[in-house]
Amino acid sequence: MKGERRLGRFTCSEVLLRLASFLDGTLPAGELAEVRVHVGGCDRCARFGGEYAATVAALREPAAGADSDDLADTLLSRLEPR
Amino acid sequence: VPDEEAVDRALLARIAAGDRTAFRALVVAHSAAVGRYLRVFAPDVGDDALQEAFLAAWRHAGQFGDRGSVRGWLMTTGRRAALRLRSREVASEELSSEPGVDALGEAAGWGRASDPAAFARALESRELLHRGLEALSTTDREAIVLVDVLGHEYDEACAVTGLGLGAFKSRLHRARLRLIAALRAHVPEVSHEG
Repeated sequence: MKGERRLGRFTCSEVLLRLASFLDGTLPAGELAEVRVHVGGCDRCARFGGEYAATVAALREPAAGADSDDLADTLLSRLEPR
Repeated sequence: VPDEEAVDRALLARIAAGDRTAFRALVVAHSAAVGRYLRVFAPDVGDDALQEAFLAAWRHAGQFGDRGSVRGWLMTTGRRAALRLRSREVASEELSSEPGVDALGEAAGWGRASDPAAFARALESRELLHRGLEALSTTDREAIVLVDVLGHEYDEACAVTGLGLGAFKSRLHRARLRLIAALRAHVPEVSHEG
Protein backbone atom coordinates (compact mmCIF):
# COMPACT_ATOMS: atom_id res chain seq x y z
CA MET A 1 0.00 0.00 0.00
CA LYS A 2 1.02 3.60 -0.39
CA GLY A 3 2.90 4.78 2.68
CA GLU A 4 3.75 1.21 3.66
CA ARG A 5 5.96 1.20 6.73
CA ARG A 6 7.79 -1.08 9.05
CA LEU A 7 7.03 -0.88 12.74
CA GLY A 8 8.71 -3.47 14.89
CA ARG A 9 9.55 -6.52 12.78
CA PHE A 10 6.58 -6.33 10.39
CA THR A 11 5.55 -4.08 7.52
CA CYS A 12 1.89 -3.20 6.90
CA SER A 13 1.71 -5.95 4.24
CA GLU A 14 3.08 -8.52 6.63
CA VAL A 15 0.47 -7.53 9.20
CA LEU A 16 -2.33 -7.74 6.62
CA LEU A 17 -1.18 -11.26 5.74
CA ARG A 18 -1.50 -12.29 9.41
CA LEU A 19 -4.84 -10.66 10.22
CA ALA A 20 -6.89 -13.87 10.14
CA SER A 21 -4.46 -15.72 12.39
CA PHE A 22 -4.15 -12.70 14.67
CA LEU A 23 -7.91 -12.72 15.08
CA ASP A 24 -8.39 -16.45 15.66
CA GLY A 25 -5.52 -16.66 18.12
CA THR A 26 -3.33 -19.06 16.12
CA LEU A 27 -0.39 -16.71 15.61
CA PRO A 28 2.85 -17.90 17.28
CA ALA A 29 3.61 -15.88 20.42
CA GLY A 30 6.59 -14.07 18.89
CA GLU A 31 4.61 -12.94 15.85
CA LEU A 32 1.64 -11.98 18.00
CA ALA A 33 3.83 -9.59 19.98
CA GLU A 34 5.24 -8.08 16.77
CA VAL A 35 1.78 -7.57 15.23
CA ARG A 36 0.71 -5.83 18.45
CA VAL A 37 3.75 -3.54 18.25
CA HIS A 38 2.91 -2.63 14.65
CA VAL A 39 -0.80 -2.09 15.18
CA GLY A 40 -0.06 -0.08 18.33
CA GLY A 41 1.83 2.48 16.25
CA CYS A 42 0.07 2.30 12.87
CA ASP A 43 -3.34 4.00 12.75
CA ARG A 44 -4.23 2.65 9.35
CA CYS A 45 -3.54 -0.99 10.21
CA ALA A 46 -5.31 -0.57 13.56
CA ARG A 47 -8.38 0.87 11.85
CA PHE A 48 -8.49 -1.72 9.08
CA GLY A 49 -7.91 -4.54 11.57
CA GLY A 50 -10.82 -3.25 13.60
CA GLU A 51 -13.08 -3.19 10.57
CA TYR A 52 -11.97 -6.69 9.57
CA ALA A 53 -12.75 -8.01 13.05
CA ALA A 54 -16.09 -6.19 13.14
CA THR A 55 -17.05 -7.73 9.80
CA VAL A 56 -16.27 -11.24 11.02
CA ALA A 57 -18.27 -10.62 14.20
CA ALA A 58 -21.25 -9.23 12.27
CA LEU A 59 -21.44 -12.37 10.13
CA ARG A 60 -22.15 -14.78 12.98
CA GLU A 61 -25.73 -15.94 13.10
CA PRO A 62 -27.31 -17.78 16.01
CA ALA A 63 -28.24 -21.38 15.23
CA ALA A 64 -31.88 -21.84 14.36
CA GLY A 65 -33.72 -25.14 14.18
CA ALA A 66 -36.94 -24.24 12.43
CA ASP A 67 -38.45 -26.79 10.07
CA SER A 68 -36.46 -29.89 10.98
CA ASP A 69 -39.55 -31.86 12.03
CA ASP A 70 -41.20 -31.37 8.65
CA LEU A 71 -38.02 -32.41 6.91
CA ALA A 72 -37.82 -35.51 9.10
CA ASP A 73 -41.39 -36.46 8.06
CA THR A 74 -40.53 -36.01 4.39
CA LEU A 75 -37.38 -38.09 4.70
CA LEU A 76 -39.03 -40.87 6.71
CA SER A 77 -41.53 -41.28 3.86
CA ARG A 78 -38.63 -41.67 1.45
CA LEU A 79 -36.57 -44.23 3.36
CA GLU A 80 -35.81 -47.51 1.67
CA PRO A 81 -37.19 -50.43 3.66
CA ARG A 82 -34.69 -52.48 5.55
CA VAL B 1 -18.00 -31.75 22.37
CA PRO B 2 -17.01 -35.45 22.42
CA ASP B 3 -20.34 -36.08 24.17
CA GLU B 4 -22.27 -34.91 21.09
CA GLU B 5 -20.12 -37.17 18.94
CA ALA B 6 -20.89 -40.13 21.20
CA VAL B 7 -24.61 -39.37 20.91
CA ASP B 8 -24.36 -39.13 17.11
CA ARG B 9 -22.49 -42.41 16.86
CA ALA B 10 -25.04 -44.13 19.04
CA LEU B 11 -27.76 -42.79 16.73
CA LEU B 12 -25.89 -44.11 13.68
CA ALA B 13 -25.62 -47.54 15.26
CA ARG B 14 -29.38 -47.60 15.81
CA ILE B 15 -30.03 -46.26 12.30
CA ALA B 16 -27.86 -49.03 10.89
CA ALA B 17 -30.24 -51.45 12.62
CA GLY B 18 -33.22 -49.78 10.93
CA ASP B 19 -34.41 -47.55 13.80
CA ARG B 20 -36.53 -44.75 12.31
CA THR B 21 -36.83 -42.87 15.59
CA ALA B 22 -33.06 -42.57 15.69
CA PHE B 23 -33.10 -41.36 12.08
CA ARG B 24 -35.59 -38.63 12.99
CA ALA B 25 -33.37 -37.59 15.91
CA LEU B 26 -30.38 -37.32 13.56
CA VAL B 27 -32.35 -35.12 11.16
CA VAL B 28 -33.59 -32.88 13.97
CA ALA B 29 -30.08 -32.54 15.42
CA HIS B 30 -28.26 -31.64 12.19
CA SER B 31 -30.57 -30.53 9.40
CA ALA B 32 -30.58 -26.84 10.36
CA ALA B 33 -26.80 -26.43 10.31
CA VAL B 34 -26.15 -28.73 7.35
CA GLY B 35 -29.04 -27.15 5.42
CA ARG B 36 -27.82 -23.62 5.96
CA TYR B 37 -24.42 -24.59 4.68
CA LEU B 38 -25.75 -26.43 1.62
CA ARG B 39 -28.20 -23.68 0.68
CA VAL B 40 -25.31 -21.23 0.60
CA PHE B 41 -22.96 -23.59 -1.19
CA ALA B 42 -25.55 -24.38 -3.86
CA PRO B 43 -28.70 -22.24 -3.56
CA ASP B 44 -30.34 -23.93 -6.54
CA VAL B 45 -30.00 -27.51 -5.28
CA GLY B 46 -29.21 -27.10 -1.58
CA ASP B 47 -32.51 -28.48 -0.29
CA ASP B 48 -32.32 -31.53 -2.54
CA ALA B 49 -28.72 -32.11 -1.54
CA LEU B 50 -29.75 -31.93 2.13
CA GLN B 51 -32.27 -34.72 1.60
CA GLU B 52 -29.69 -36.76 -0.32
CA ALA B 53 -27.21 -36.41 2.56
CA PHE B 54 -29.65 -37.82 5.11
CA LEU B 55 -30.86 -40.58 2.79
CA ALA B 56 -27.21 -41.56 2.27
CA ALA B 57 -26.80 -41.60 6.06
CA TRP B 58 -29.73 -44.03 6.27
CA ARG B 59 -28.17 -46.28 3.65
CA HIS B 60 -24.58 -46.14 4.92
CA ALA B 61 -24.97 -45.64 8.68
CA GLY B 62 -23.27 -48.98 9.31
CA GLN B 63 -20.15 -47.97 7.37
CA PHE B 64 -19.38 -44.70 9.14
CA GLY B 65 -16.42 -46.21 11.00
CA ASP B 66 -14.00 -43.63 12.33
CA ARG B 67 -14.48 -40.70 10.00
CA GLY B 68 -14.47 -37.69 12.29
CA SER B 69 -17.67 -35.86 13.11
CA VAL B 70 -21.05 -37.11 11.94
CA ARG B 71 -22.11 -33.56 11.07
CA GLY B 72 -18.95 -33.15 8.97
CA TRP B 73 -19.80 -36.40 7.21
CA LEU B 74 -23.32 -35.14 6.45
CA MET B 75 -21.92 -31.87 5.11
CA THR B 76 -19.37 -33.62 2.91
CA THR B 77 -21.98 -36.03 1.59
CA GLY B 78 -24.37 -33.15 0.92
CA ARG B 79 -21.65 -31.18 -0.83
CA ARG B 80 -20.93 -34.10 -3.14
CA ALA B 81 -24.64 -34.49 -3.83
CA ALA B 82 -24.93 -30.79 -4.64
CA LEU B 83 -22.05 -31.00 -7.10
CA ARG B 84 -23.67 -34.04 -8.70
CA LEU B 85 -27.05 -32.31 -8.91
CA ARG B 86 -25.60 -29.19 -10.40
CA SER B 87 -24.23 -29.08 -13.90
CA ARG B 88 -21.86 -26.20 -13.20
CA GLU B 89 -18.38 -27.24 -12.16
CA VAL B 90 -17.14 -25.50 -9.04
CA ALA B 91 -13.51 -26.49 -9.31
CA SER B 92 -12.94 -24.29 -12.34
CA GLU B 93 -13.49 -21.20 -10.21
CA GLU B 94 -10.48 -22.05 -8.10
CA LEU B 95 -7.92 -22.11 -10.87
CA SER B 96 -8.23 -18.54 -12.11
CA SER B 97 -5.19 -16.43 -11.31
CA GLU B 98 -5.49 -15.11 -7.77
CA PRO B 99 -4.72 -11.49 -6.99
CA GLY B 100 -2.33 -11.03 -4.08
CA VAL B 101 -3.48 -10.27 -0.57
CA ASP B 102 -2.14 -6.70 -0.87
CA ALA B 103 -4.30 -6.00 -3.92
CA LEU B 104 -7.36 -7.48 -2.23
CA GLY B 105 -6.61 -5.48 0.90
CA GLU B 106 -6.36 -2.24 -1.06
CA ALA B 107 -9.69 -2.94 -2.73
CA ALA B 108 -11.09 -3.47 0.77
CA GLY B 109 -9.89 -0.05 1.88
CA TRP B 110 -6.72 -1.11 3.67
CA GLY B 111 -4.43 1.91 3.97
CA ARG B 112 -7.12 4.37 2.98
CA ALA B 113 -8.83 6.88 5.21
CA SER B 114 -12.36 5.91 6.05
CA ASP B 115 -15.11 6.80 8.45
CA PRO B 116 -15.27 3.96 11.02
CA ALA B 117 -18.79 4.94 12.07
CA ALA B 118 -20.05 4.72 8.50
CA PHE B 119 -18.50 1.28 8.08
CA ALA B 120 -20.03 0.13 11.37
CA ARG B 121 -23.44 1.28 10.12
CA ALA B 122 -22.96 -0.71 6.92
CA LEU B 123 -22.31 -3.83 9.02
CA GLU B 124 -25.59 -3.37 10.83
CA SER B 125 -27.45 -3.89 7.59
CA ARG B 126 -28.21 -7.60 7.13
CA GLU B 127 -29.19 -6.76 3.60
CA LEU B 128 -25.79 -5.29 2.74
CA LEU B 129 -24.02 -8.26 4.32
CA HIS B 130 -26.27 -10.60 2.41
CA ARG B 131 -25.70 -8.82 -0.89
CA GLY B 132 -21.96 -8.80 -0.26
CA LEU B 133 -21.97 -12.56 0.33
CA GLU B 134 -24.07 -13.12 -2.80
CA ALA B 135 -21.50 -11.28 -4.89
CA LEU B 136 -18.68 -13.69 -3.88
CA SER B 137 -17.71 -16.83 -5.75
CA THR B 138 -19.21 -20.08 -4.47
CA THR B 139 -15.98 -21.21 -2.85
CA ASP B 140 -15.30 -17.84 -1.18
CA ARG B 141 -18.85 -17.70 0.16
CA GLU B 142 -18.57 -21.27 1.38
CA ALA B 143 -15.45 -20.47 3.43
CA ILE B 144 -17.10 -17.49 5.13
CA VAL B 145 -20.35 -19.31 5.78
CA LEU B 146 -18.63 -22.35 7.28
CA VAL B 147 -16.44 -20.46 9.74
CA ASP B 148 -17.86 -16.97 10.26
CA VAL B 149 -21.60 -17.49 9.83
CA LEU B 150 -22.08 -21.03 11.11
CA GLY B 151 -19.11 -21.12 13.49
CA HIS B 152 -17.49 -24.37 12.39
CA GLU B 153 -13.96 -25.16 13.53
CA TYR B 154 -11.19 -25.13 10.94
CA ASP B 155 -10.76 -28.91 11.00
CA GLU B 156 -14.41 -29.39 10.07
CA ALA B 157 -14.24 -26.74 7.35
CA CYS B 158 -11.09 -28.37 5.94
CA ALA B 159 -12.73 -31.79 5.91
CA VAL B 160 -15.78 -30.44 4.08
CA THR B 161 -13.87 -28.43 1.47
CA GLY B 162 -11.04 -30.92 1.08
CA LEU B 163 -8.42 -28.21 1.68
CA GLY B 164 -5.44 -28.23 4.02
CA LEU B 165 -5.44 -25.75 6.90
CA GLY B 166 -3.12 -23.25 5.23
CA ALA B 167 -5.04 -23.27 1.95
CA PHE B 168 -8.38 -22.95 3.72
CA LYS B 169 -7.26 -20.03 5.89
CA SER B 170 -5.81 -18.30 2.87
CA ARG B 171 -9.11 -18.66 1.04
CA LEU B 172 -11.04 -17.44 4.09
CA HIS B 173 -8.82 -14.37 4.47
CA ARG B 174 -9.14 -13.47 0.79
CA ALA B 175 -12.89 -14.04 0.87
CA ARG B 176 -13.25 -11.71 3.87
CA LEU B 177 -11.22 -9.04 2.09
CA ARG B 178 -13.46 -9.34 -0.97
CA LEU B 179 -16.54 -9.08 1.23
CA ILE B 180 -15.17 -5.97 2.95
CA ALA B 181 -14.49 -4.47 -0.50
CA ALA B 182 -18.12 -5.09 -1.44
CA LEU B 183 -19.33 -3.50 1.81
CA ARG B 184 -16.95 -0.58 1.33
CA ALA B 185 -18.73 0.34 -1.88
CA HIS B 186 -21.62 1.51 0.31
CA VAL B 187 -19.47 3.57 2.69
CA PRO B 188 -18.60 7.17 1.78
CA GLU B 189 -14.87 7.95 1.67
CA VAL B 190 -13.36 10.75 3.67
CA SER B 191 -11.06 13.12 1.86
CA HIS B 192 -8.25 13.41 4.41
CA GLU B 193 -6.21 10.94 6.43
CA GLY B 194 -8.05 10.23 9.68
